Amino acid sequence: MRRHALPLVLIAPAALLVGAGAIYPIAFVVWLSGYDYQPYRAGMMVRVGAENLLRVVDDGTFWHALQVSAIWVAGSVIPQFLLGLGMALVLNESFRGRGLVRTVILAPWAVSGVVTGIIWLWIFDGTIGVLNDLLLRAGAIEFPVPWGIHEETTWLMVLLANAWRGAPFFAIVLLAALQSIEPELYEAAQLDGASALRRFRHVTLPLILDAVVVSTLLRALWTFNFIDLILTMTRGGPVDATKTLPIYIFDVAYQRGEFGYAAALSVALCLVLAAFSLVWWQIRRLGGR
Amino acid sequence: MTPTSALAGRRSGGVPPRRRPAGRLRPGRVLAIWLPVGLFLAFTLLPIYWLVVSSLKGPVELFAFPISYWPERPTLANYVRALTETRLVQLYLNSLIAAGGTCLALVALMIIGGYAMARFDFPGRSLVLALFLAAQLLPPVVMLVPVFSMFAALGLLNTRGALVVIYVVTLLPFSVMTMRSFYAAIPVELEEAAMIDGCTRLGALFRVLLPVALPGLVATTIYGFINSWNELLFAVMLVQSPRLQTIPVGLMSMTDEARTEYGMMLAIAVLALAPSLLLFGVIQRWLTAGLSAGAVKG
Repeated sequence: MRRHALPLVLIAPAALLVGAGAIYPIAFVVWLSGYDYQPYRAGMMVRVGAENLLRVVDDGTFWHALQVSAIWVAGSVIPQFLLGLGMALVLNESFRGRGLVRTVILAPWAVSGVVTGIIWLWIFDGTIGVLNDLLLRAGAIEFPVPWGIHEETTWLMVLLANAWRGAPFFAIVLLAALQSIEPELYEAAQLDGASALRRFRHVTLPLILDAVVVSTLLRALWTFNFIDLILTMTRGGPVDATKTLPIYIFDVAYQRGEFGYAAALSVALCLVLAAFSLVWWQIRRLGGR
Repeated sequence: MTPTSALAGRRSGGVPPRRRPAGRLRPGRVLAIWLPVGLFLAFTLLPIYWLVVSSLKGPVELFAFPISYWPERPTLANYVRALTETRLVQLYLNSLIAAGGTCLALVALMIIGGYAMARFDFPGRSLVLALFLAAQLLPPVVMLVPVFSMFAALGLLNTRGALVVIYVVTLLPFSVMTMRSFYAAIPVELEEAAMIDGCTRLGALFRVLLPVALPGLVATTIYGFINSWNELLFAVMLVQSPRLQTIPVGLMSMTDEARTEYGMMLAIAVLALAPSLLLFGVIQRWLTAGLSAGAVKG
């Protein structure tokens, strides 16, 4: 009995805090999604049952936000993964000054979304941004481009900023995976006359595949929920072009104060993420055969 | 953008040179290592360089066209104005209190919680593991409404404690599990020897185990500091009185202000960036060495 008492006492504070602060909200969200609740206005809770969820299905902005989220996630994770893989492969080689180079290349991981947004807003400034200046000097454009006004150029701006900040995440994870590969495997492959590309395809890739699958899934989920950068750079604009689902929920809760409907949208968000994760794992299981 | 094209260029970049006897700088090595390294460094550093250089320009030079790539007359005017004319000091202090308070609570909870998870098999252990995993996968935006309502009921809205509580809750699962792995890497014999010498179990934890796990504790704490220093969503939602707001919230609201204030905004961005980058330099080695894929957040 005493043997079991100590660990329970030691873990209890953390477990209770996490339980109360993270798991209870899920139950609350599911419960609240059945109500109309706008605390800033009347503050009356009116039971509406499934009406809120039906409203989500009918909500054009919800479906639009879902499409925007898909662009945001795919446009973020794919280039970040490729960049991060490149970084990890280079950092896995031994060369003079590698420690310092590694610290510098990985540093944007620690930069906040807000500061990243400000840095890239300034680079992409529509009149005196450094990017416009470089392109003007190179003769690629005749007039400064107002990047933040058009939908396509806004995406370019936001996704590039996100790639800058997000590539180090993949570099960190993939570098750890690369460093766990036995060097003897490469020596053996080299002795067999395998080219660098074939060594990557047949030795490196299979051995880091698990890290790739897990990290891309986690990164996709995390990116889906990451709103700091878009909020700083575009506020979801121009005209909702970059309004992802979490930003829409944030608007509904924070700007409009419709807590009940925000809860219903949150339930929908959780279902979408769960479905996405399931599909991803199925693909992994089929591909792993 | 550039580094991807670098990789493409590496593949298609002409015929690879014939293998030569070991030279100092073989062209193949320049192409395979130093060229991508240079491009990655440029991609990482140039945006930060541009932020810092721009923050050192006076109002006239900042908006002059064509722009100068090096400040002709570097000045700290933006920093001075940010310190004297804005609520920067207040914002900075609020962020320090939120992040510092979070770290203090985290340290206390993960020292004992990680120990329980590393050294004991107790009923409910797998339940705690599942709880921590689920909590880490929970989207912050989903927590927004319930946490707001809960904090309103508890009278925590617009208090200094609000951010500390929510940051501790969101960072605890990661911190405890990371601390667990640091303990787990230490041989049990170390504590057993101490306990044979008359230490109690907790005495052995604090006198023997913890000193060995200290680097891990420091790194995990710094990780928590960086994350709470940078956090935006809960800071916007839970603390709406300007007197208590944190740096990210203040910075974001500055992007709406007049362009004449841009110099100040860039200076504040530099000051917000500095602690995160410095602390990252401290824990960088640990991040790449020991962190499993599932553990790192964005």
